[in-house]
Amino acid sequence: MNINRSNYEEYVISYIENVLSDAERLAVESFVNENIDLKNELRLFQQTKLVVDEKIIFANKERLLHKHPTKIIAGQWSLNTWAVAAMLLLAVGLGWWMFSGKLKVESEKLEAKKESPVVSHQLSVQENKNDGCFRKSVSVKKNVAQKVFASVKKEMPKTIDTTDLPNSRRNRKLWNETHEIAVVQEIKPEEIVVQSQKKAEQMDTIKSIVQNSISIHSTKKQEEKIIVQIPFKTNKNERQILKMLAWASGKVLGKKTNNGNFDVSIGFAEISHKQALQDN
Amino acid sequence: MTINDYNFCVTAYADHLFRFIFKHTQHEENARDVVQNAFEILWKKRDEIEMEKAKSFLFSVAYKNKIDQFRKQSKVNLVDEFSAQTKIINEHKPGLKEVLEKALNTLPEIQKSCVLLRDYEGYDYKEIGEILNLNESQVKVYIFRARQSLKNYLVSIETVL
Repeated sequence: MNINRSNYEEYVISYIENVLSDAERLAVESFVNENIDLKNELRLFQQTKLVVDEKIIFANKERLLHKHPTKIIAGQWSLNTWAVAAMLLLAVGLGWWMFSGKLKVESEKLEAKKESPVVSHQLSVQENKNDGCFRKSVSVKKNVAQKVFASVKKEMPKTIDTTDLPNSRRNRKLWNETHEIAVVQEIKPEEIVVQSQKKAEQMDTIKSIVQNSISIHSTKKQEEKIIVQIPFKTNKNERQILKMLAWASGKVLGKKTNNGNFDVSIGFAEISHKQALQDN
Repeated sequence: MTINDYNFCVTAYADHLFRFIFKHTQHEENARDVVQNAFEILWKKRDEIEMEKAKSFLFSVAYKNKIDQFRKQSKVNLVDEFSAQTKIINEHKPGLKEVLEKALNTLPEIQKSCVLLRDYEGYDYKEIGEILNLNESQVKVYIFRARQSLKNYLVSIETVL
């Protein structure tokens, strides 16, 4: 390293730039000390070092910041989020209103259909005199059903077990004397399933009796079951129907509960089929 | 670079960047535009830029933007504006800081940039070269010439005073 008056500026500038090694720095300092007039040069070069002007700042730099993606937290939703939620609720509410309105209309149509004029008629059950049995007329007024049917609730069907249905009127009489029926005191308009393990003709008998005695909403045969909807509410009429069913099928077990069992503990009055017939 | 990294860059480097550009433009709004533009570009390219390179990237982008702006403004005559400033400064006895400020404004843009990055930001020659798209030797020469010019300006002022 050879510092002289022709190249000293380079070394002095490197000195103030702090890019020299320790040895080079010492060499520069030594050279300047040997040349007193260069001390001022060194001072001037040192003054060329710029000092940061802290007063110059970028105002409102927070505007350049970016926020993290908004987390959906209740209470921190933006206005837009609340607006979307409100629109969604409104749409759901409107949809429900329209749907329920449609249901109501259909329900009214169904009721109107169900409340068709009911003709009071008479059921005449004639027994063969030759059989030495009875002759009975059963009258059933069915105008009661008009209002009741509108409030049909579909529940578990009532089941009438006709497993041991007598297959002849004579036998039926004998059977009637030994069998009892349970009558549902408060039977609501609902379906009654008449079960039978017997032949189809017996089912047809039951069906015929029921059809001729009460206002039947629907009677359909499903395999060995006849489903009868009884639109009766008053005890009198339901007793009539149940008696007829008991007469025709042989036995009414009672109201079938939701779990499939027969509820005979409360609200049932056990009467014999014979007694039922005598009542009429 | 994460959002946090970006926000850190804003907090840590916005003033530095603004200062660097303002020393060139002497115009606050233009300098703000350059800084905002640089950060916009940084945000767009945040996935590509490593945090360690963010500061030099900002200075590089701002410098290029400043050059473009300077070229546009060069078509406008700003001589009167600078003359007015000079007149105001000369009305009172200037301190070293003001003298040096004026001396800095006499330097060519590239020398000024090199000196500012060196003194304000502490970059070494290599880093300055990367920002200004120069090689290390060029940076060294520009700084050398800038120091000489500044020193000579100080000598001239001392002589006058």
